Amino acid sequence: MKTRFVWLIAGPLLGILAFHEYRAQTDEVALLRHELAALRAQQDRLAAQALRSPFVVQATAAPAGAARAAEGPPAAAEVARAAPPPPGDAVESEAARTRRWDDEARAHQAAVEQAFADQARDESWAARTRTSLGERLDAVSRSLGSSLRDIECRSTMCRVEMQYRDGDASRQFVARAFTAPEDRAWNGPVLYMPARTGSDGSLVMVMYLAREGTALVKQEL
Amino acid sequence: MKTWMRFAIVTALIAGAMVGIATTSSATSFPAFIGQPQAPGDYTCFVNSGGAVFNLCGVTKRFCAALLVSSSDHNVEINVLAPDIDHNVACFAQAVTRDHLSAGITGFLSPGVFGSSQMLHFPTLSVPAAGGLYACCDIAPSASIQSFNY
Repeated sequence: MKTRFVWLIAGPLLGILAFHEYRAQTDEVALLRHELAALRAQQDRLAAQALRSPFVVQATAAPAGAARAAEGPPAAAEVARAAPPPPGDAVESEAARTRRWDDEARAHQAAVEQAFADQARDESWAARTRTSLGERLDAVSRSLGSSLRDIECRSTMCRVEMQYRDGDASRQFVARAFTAPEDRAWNGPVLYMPARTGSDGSLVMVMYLAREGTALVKQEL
Repeated sequence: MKTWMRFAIVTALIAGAMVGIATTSSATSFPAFIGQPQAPGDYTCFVNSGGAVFNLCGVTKRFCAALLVSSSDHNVEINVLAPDIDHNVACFAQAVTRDHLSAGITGFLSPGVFGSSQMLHFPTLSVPAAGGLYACCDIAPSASIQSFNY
C-alpha cells in the first residue's frame, strides 16, 4: 500500500519535472538558433552596407534610436548589451530582459529577410504588383517630400526601400499608405527594418510587405 | 502493482500536459473599454457596455487601444460584433519603435459573419525592444468591439 502511495505522489511530480526540463532545453535551443540567425543576418547587412551605403548604420543595435541616438544617450538595448550580467542572479534582470527582447525582434527580422530571399519569383504577380504598388507608394512618398528608392517583388512578398525626409514624413507615409480608413496602398502585413539615418537627417527604411491573407513568416502557433 | 504503476505513469503524463498547457497560455486580455477614440472629439460617440464599446454616432469612427508589451512577438486578436455588412468593423494592429517609427503593421481585417461576436486573428507582429504595440478599429454606427487579446 505504501509503495502505491509513493508512486501516486512521485509519478505526477516526476512528470512535471521531466516536462519542465524538456521545455527548458527546447527553449534554449530555439533561442540559440534565433541568435545565430540574427547574427548571420546582421553580419550580412553590415557587410553589404559597408560596401554600398553612404549612410551611417546606427540602428541595428537599437532599432528605435534612428533619429535620437546620434545626439542622445545610448539606447537601453545598447546599455543592456554592454553591461555584464549580474553574477548568480536567478531572476532575469532588466538588462537581460531587454537583451532577450532585442534578440527576439532581430531574429524575427532575420527570419523575414530569409523568407524573402528564399522565395521563388512568380513573374506575373511580381511584375504586376511591382508596378501597381510602386506607383501608389511613389505617389504618397512624393507628396511628403520623400522617395521610393527600390522595390522588388517575388511570389507573395515585396521588399521596398524608402527614403523619408524625416521621422514625421515616415509616420505620415504609414498613416496614408497603410492605415488610412480607405484607399490604402497595401493591406497585407508590413515589417519595417531598423532605420538608417543619413547625414542630411533623412531616414532610409527597408520594409517587407506580404500579400493580403498571407504572413511574412510562417506563424508559430 | 503493475496497475498502480500504469496509473501513476498516466497521471504523470496528464499532469505534465496540464502544466504544459498552463505555461504556454500566457495571453493578455483587455476589454475594449480600455481604449480611446483616435480623435478626442469623438468621445461622445462611444459608449461602454460591459466593457464593449459601441459607436452611437452616424458615421464610422476610429477607436484605438495601447497594448502593453514586454517581449517581441505578438499575435493580436480582437473580438468584434458587426450587425450587418453595411455596419462593419475593420481593425489593424501596429508595432512602433521606442521613438515612434513604424516597426510593423498587420493590415486590416473585418468579420465576414454578422450578428454575433467574431474574433479577428492578426498575423504576428514583432515589437522592437522598448517599443510599443497598439490596435485600432474603424467602427461603423451600431457596431462594437469587445476585447483585445494578445
